[in-house]
Amino acid sequence: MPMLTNQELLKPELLQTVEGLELIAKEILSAYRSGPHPGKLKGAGAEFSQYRSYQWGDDLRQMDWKLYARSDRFYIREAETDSQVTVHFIIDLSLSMSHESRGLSKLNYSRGLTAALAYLALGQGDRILFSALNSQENILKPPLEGRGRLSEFLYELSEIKCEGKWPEEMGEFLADKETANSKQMIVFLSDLYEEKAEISKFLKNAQASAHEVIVFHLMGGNELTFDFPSNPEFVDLETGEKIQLDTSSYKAVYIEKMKKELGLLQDQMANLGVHYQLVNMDQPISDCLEGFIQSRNY
Amino acid sequence: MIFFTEPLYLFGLVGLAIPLLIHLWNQKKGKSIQIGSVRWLRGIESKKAKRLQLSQWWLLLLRCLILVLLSFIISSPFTNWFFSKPENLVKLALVDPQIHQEDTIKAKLVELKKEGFDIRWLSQGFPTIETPPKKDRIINYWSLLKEIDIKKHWRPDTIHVIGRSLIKNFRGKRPKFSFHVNWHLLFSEGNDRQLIELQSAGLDSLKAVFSNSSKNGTFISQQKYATLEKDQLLENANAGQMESPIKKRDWADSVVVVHSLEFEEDAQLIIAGFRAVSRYTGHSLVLNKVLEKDFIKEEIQGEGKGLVLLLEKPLKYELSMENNPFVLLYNKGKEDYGLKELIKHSPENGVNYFNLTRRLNSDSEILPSELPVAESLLVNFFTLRDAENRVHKLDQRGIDIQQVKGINKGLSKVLTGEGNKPKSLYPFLWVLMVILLTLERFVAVGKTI
Repeated sequence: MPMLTNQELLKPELLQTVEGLELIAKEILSAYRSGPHPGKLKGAGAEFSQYRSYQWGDDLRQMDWKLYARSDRFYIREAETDSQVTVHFIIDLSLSMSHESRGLSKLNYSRGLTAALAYLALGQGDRILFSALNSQENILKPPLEGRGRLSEFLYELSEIKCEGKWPEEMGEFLADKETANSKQMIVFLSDLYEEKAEISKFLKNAQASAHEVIVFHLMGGNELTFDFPSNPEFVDLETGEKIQLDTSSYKAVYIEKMKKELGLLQDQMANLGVHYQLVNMDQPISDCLEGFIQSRNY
Repeated sequence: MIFFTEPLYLFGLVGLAIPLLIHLWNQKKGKSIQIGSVRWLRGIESKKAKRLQLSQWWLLLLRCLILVLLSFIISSPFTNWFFSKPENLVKLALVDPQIHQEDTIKAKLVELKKEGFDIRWLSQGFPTIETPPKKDRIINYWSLLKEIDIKKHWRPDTIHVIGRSLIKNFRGKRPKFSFHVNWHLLFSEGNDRQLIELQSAGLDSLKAVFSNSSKNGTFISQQKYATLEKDQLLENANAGQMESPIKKRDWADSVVVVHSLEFEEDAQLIIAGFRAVSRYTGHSLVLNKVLEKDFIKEEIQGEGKGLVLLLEKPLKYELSMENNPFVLLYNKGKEDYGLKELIKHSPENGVNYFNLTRRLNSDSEILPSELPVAESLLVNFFTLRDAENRVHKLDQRGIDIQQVKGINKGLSKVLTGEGNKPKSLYPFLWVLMVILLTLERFVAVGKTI
């Protein structure tokens, strides 16, 4: 089956409903599985660790039917995976995330990616947390576990909108966690546009409080290749600043500047010790899963 | 003062609107694009903005200049500011040596001499009139005048040419001169009849062949000159005394055209052609057109009988045709449309054999009219070999004066006759054009660097 482009996959109407998001998530995962990648996703339950009584929403595949036959009660086999991880998804909701490349906005892209990663994580038995931030509001939802809870997660995902900028003061956002025992992994999706190093500060805190931080740096294809119609007037989404430029004459200069900035950014990320991934929104979305899966050692 | 000899082309300046429109169109603000952050766009432009803006204006100016220049060049500009030096303010007159004996001409020459003209012979080298004239060859006025242009002995403004108005003196296309020509041409009204040669007509008579030439045409006529009767040469009373070598021409006296049904049209055309030839040469021809099925082979035997065979298939039987003055065949499948001539000599079949190179009916590629056919027949079967030059010399056909004067074009429009020849601005403008074009390319490429 030919791969759908991101634009075809992440249709806005699908992204706004829970069912749609679930569909998208499954699509992305199946696209990932059918593509080339090193190693196989280890199914959940590689090794038996213990039985746990069945809760509504648990994966029926993990049900031990023989035990049911013997005991007339439903039990789930729990696998000896690494100690459970809480994956905390944080989405940047500043206005710059409405940037569109070929009709696909960074926000919608994040929705699709987050849905897929969340689906994956829940399927592996991890807990997931949803957050989305901008200067106007902070969203932080309680952690969810089990496939059955996916819809709640996806609901939150479908409702988010872009506004304002990245908050300057994060305050106690990352501090209160009931997750002191388990490992925490933060998945941060943003375009990393900051005025006063507010994101860098955040990331530093994040790195301190979590075991692992993955940064997905979302960039539109047109930003990376400077593919804009000639002689446009650019309007900054967050500040409203206007700049007119003749794109054909300045392409080379722009790309050089951009590469330099990106290089600096990568160094900065490396210094922080976060796992940084540059995402080109024009490339198939299933390619992003690679980094996540490897970090998580699925 | 700059002026144009073709000022209407200046309307091309309307085309100036095009680069202006294009420039304005490009300057128009492009669409608004919302971008996540303009941080990487800041600072790029300020480095080159001013330079870019300026080069845009330069480009516009250059392109407009180029268009203006093109319009000027096509309008053929001249200027009176720099004259070509009138050092050779010569009054030049050229006389055709053939006519200098005429009284009217002599009078004119005296007149011109009084006015201070430099009078020369209109012949090779242009010797002065003091030297004896050379009358031998037929001169071509066009080529001689062109020589003045090329060799630039003088740079005259106007040349007076005194000559004859005969077609044979104006061979070829009228060239463009860099001077005015004042024509003083003699027109003849008379009819000139000259003996070309005496021919033997049959075993016992002589005929005289004359060329008759007037302003309108030249043709050949024949007249019985003398007959031998019982060892006595009886001269024709009207003939008069003439001296000339006697030639034997082996022209056919009668022509038989044998054709199959398909070649009806071709046969008719050929008969008509022979009739025209007979009229022109004054040589009487008996013409016969016969269908193949009615053909009796005995009819064509004999000297003096020209034979034309237009058959679908070659004759089934052999004919001995060596004694016929000519045999013209049409061989299906042996057409040769590449040749310009209608009739081609084919000695491989026999000394007197000729091939018709194409069909002559309405279907064939060239629509033959009577004349090309008659011409081919004349040239091939009724030649006046050796005598042709003499006919040419005696040719009196006149040219139309309009053809000689031509249409006033270009430079001739601006010559004033005062010896001041305006200088053409062409070279100057073309050099400027090349410079501007290279400059425009440099600026256009340079703005992207």
